[in-house]
Amino acid sequence: MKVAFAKPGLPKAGCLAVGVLETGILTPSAKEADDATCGALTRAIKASRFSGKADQTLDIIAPSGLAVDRVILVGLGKACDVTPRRMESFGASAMSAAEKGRSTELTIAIDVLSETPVSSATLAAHAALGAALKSYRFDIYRTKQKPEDKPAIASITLCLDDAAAAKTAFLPLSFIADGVGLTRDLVSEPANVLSPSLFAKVAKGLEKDGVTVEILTEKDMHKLGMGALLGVGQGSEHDSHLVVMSWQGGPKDEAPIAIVGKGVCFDSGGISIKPAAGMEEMKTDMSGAAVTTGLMQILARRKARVNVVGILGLVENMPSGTAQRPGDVVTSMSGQTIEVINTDAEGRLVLADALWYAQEVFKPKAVIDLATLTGAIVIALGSEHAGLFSNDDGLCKALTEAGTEVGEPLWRLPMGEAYDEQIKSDIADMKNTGGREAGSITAAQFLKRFVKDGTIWAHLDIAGVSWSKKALATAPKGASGFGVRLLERLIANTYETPLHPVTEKKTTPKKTGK
Amino acid sequence: MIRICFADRDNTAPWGNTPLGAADAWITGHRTSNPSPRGSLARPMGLMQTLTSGDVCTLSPSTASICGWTGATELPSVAALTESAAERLGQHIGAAIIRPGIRRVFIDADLFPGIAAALASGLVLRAEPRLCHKSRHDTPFDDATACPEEVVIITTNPTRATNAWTEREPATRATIWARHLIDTPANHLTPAALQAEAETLIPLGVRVTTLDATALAAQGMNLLLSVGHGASQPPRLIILDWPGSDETAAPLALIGKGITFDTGGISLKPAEHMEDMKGDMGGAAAVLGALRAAATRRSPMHIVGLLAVAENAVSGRAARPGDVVMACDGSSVEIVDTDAEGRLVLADALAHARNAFAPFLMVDLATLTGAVARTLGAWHGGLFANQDDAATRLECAAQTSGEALWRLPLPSESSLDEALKSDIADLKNCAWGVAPDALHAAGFLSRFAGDTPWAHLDIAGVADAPKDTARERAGPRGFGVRLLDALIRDLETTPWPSTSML
Repeated sequence: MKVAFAKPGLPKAGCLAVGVLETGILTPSAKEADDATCGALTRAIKASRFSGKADQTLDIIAPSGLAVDRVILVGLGKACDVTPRRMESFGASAMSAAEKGRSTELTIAIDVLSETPVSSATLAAHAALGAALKSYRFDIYRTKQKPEDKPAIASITLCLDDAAAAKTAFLPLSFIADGVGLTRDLVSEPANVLSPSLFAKVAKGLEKDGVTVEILTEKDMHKLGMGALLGVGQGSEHDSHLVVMSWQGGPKDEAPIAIVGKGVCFDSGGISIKPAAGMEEMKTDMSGAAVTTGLMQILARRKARVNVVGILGLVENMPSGTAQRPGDVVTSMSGQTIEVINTDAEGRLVLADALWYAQEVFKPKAVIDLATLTGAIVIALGSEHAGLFSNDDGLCKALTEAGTEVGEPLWRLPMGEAYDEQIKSDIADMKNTGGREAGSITAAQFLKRFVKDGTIWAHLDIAGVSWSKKALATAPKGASGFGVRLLERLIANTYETPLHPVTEKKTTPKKTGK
Repeated sequence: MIRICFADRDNTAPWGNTPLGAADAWITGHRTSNPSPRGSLARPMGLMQTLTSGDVCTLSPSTASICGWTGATELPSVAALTESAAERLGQHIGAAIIRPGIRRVFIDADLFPGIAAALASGLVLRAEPRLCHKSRHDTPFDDATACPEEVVIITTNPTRATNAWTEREPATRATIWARHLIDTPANHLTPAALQAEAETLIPLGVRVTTLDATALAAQGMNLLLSVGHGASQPPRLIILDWPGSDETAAPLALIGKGITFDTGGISLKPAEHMEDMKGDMGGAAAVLGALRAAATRRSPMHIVGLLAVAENAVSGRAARPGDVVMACDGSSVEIVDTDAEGRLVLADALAHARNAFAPFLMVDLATLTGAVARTLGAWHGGLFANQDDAATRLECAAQTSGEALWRLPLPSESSLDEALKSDIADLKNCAWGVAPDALHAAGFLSRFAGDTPWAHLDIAGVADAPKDTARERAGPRGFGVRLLDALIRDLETTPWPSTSML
């Protein structure tokens, strides 16, 4: 889908989206359209329940006085609440409404509102981002799509005075849209297609953006002693892999941030097999790895001034004669032994080795892992917040703030010795389940055993937020890509070297780490 | 009930000159290898050897350790004990002394008064036995009910220690009372019996009024009536009013879920471990305990306790799934799951509390959802609040009292609307499937709390200690009594609304 920015002006075709503030106050663009249609907008608002509340929409089909197919009124809420996030919803709502018709173009009018401190260029860029994120489709497997079901919008144009500034502001956001798209693609791909090997290949493709990608084979992992990870994949026909992506955009010797993603390409549960109903959703059990991959693409494309390694633990968890059995004891790369009580608690086994590898090889400044780890997190927090666990209050604060900024909220849950007791094993260093109570917490306690003393670490349990059965503000039904924007924002806010005008040309820029 | 006395080294009055016997335990702050306890407690090593082995616990001056049958435990040195460490130490000692045959315990460690009182508190909480309905004891000394009659603590200042204990004792004893109420089986602790227990607070100066079924109907409290409709004893709202120093002041309202037995109703629970549901009045027990403690120490705060009491029974008169009932605030609720009954009785109680008392802050406690136990297990109660100030106060009280809480989010308006959408009423009482039920229940309650500052404690996971440890006895914790006591004390010192940063 093409995104363009232009000077203000009523379009001659397609859809026009204009903003309306709460209690039906027309923005200047809406007023312009209203005048051109001899008050059709005002009359339509009066006749409907549309009041300008945030994200309400009202369509006026083919009004006389304008050459457009459809005028879309989008509620902006209160003027003082018009933030970049609100504009994302604005763009997304405009997109959803426009896709109802057959138009191929959508024009979105951006107005300067005096109560809004943010520039119209930023607002426009975020509206474009929202529209782009909402327009995501995963249609590649449809062979018989009726013309009326196919998306028609091929281009969107945002109109504002400072079109050039908006175009500049949108460039980094376009990378975000693409990165989220990549993540959603990976999550949506069914497991007969996206095997660990194919996933690794996709990750390897990031080399063209300047990312260094190494793919470890099962043989490599055996040598490293990754008994926990290998145990999970041993029942599958597909080989397991550890993918190590490295983006060096910061000072040469600066310790990187490590992002570790759970990449269980399909989770049947293994011998502790899951119930049949709904098991198809387990193709999404590699969302953590998908988020990591999308993030690396964004950082590379926008040439982020930071060193980040992304590590993917890619396996398929299947039952078979060679699969691991409940009761098996495996030895992890760290040397700790694990009694596998439940083969369906496999994500933590994969992460145990991936986390250890990340710390051993890269000695990172901080390690953040993401995983669709526990069903318990859905019972705990539902689908609004992802679960956050950490050994560092500072990192928690930074993550939570970043999450609020981009609309990917986190909620921290406690950890502690009493919970750690629950994973004590009678015969090994630990077991991989902690009983029915506090399941997400005991999973986090398990992971913590693989975090070295002194390493700053956070764990995001995204099982409730990575796949949605209904459309979200800036996502259609299905893969949300939750976590990509969160981590990108965290890195930009907390770890990225800010632009230093004086030293920009130097080969070793002054470290001003936060 | 264990009797606590304080004495100093020079004054042996409490126990006279009775020598230590086989029925006593001596816990000393002096090394046994370096014998010379001062004063009239000096005992030759020979006598110590006549004590049954394991009856002596040694706290050594440099590294306090309890040796013997509980295993060696390293604790901070006696001199460096803080009050919370002393409480923990008291718990460890409590675990050690509940052996059949120990009648008196001497804790010989020259403790400072505040420390001594804290230790006593921990000891009582750990050592007091569970409620016992056994008709006979198989052995002369039954482990389950073994506990010493008297504990004497040597302190540098017995008078100050006694005063400090007077401050701590009400909440400590009230916690034990709450535990017994929870442990009392439902054929004994019926709604009427719970009312009788509440009425034992009258002599302390608490006004107790009970709204019976007729009064509930007059007030429109149909949710409470509906939940209790299937039982042989009718439901009731028990209102406890502690006037404090100004009974006209806007009170603190404490609301407790008092389901004396929860079968689940027509949405019947599975049989296994249903006996635990005698404890479904744990919230009410906490409120009762808090009121008892506040009244005993004559708190200056005006406190109102509301206990929503019912038995959720299965019968021909029980509420049916699908019933639509009008709450006392006028909203209609479709009861899709009769086992989500706690939020129904609390809803009516919250709305009534707002109307009748205009409280400045409402705190409800309830063993409400299985989901909160799936989330936080046995180690943190779930905390929800409609204002950050309320949450902060509760978190502070949790820290002070050692009864841990963790805040969880209230669902957004839109997601709650969607989750509890009813086709025929204002809202359903719960959503089906894999749902964040603790959040939904809290969200449901928030509709009835309105804009009154409100905190909700879901204590379903923490109501019971899962196993015997050095620090706690398996069984009901009486969770919430000490937490509320700490909250009340905090509000006495720093009145609501708080402006200080914590």
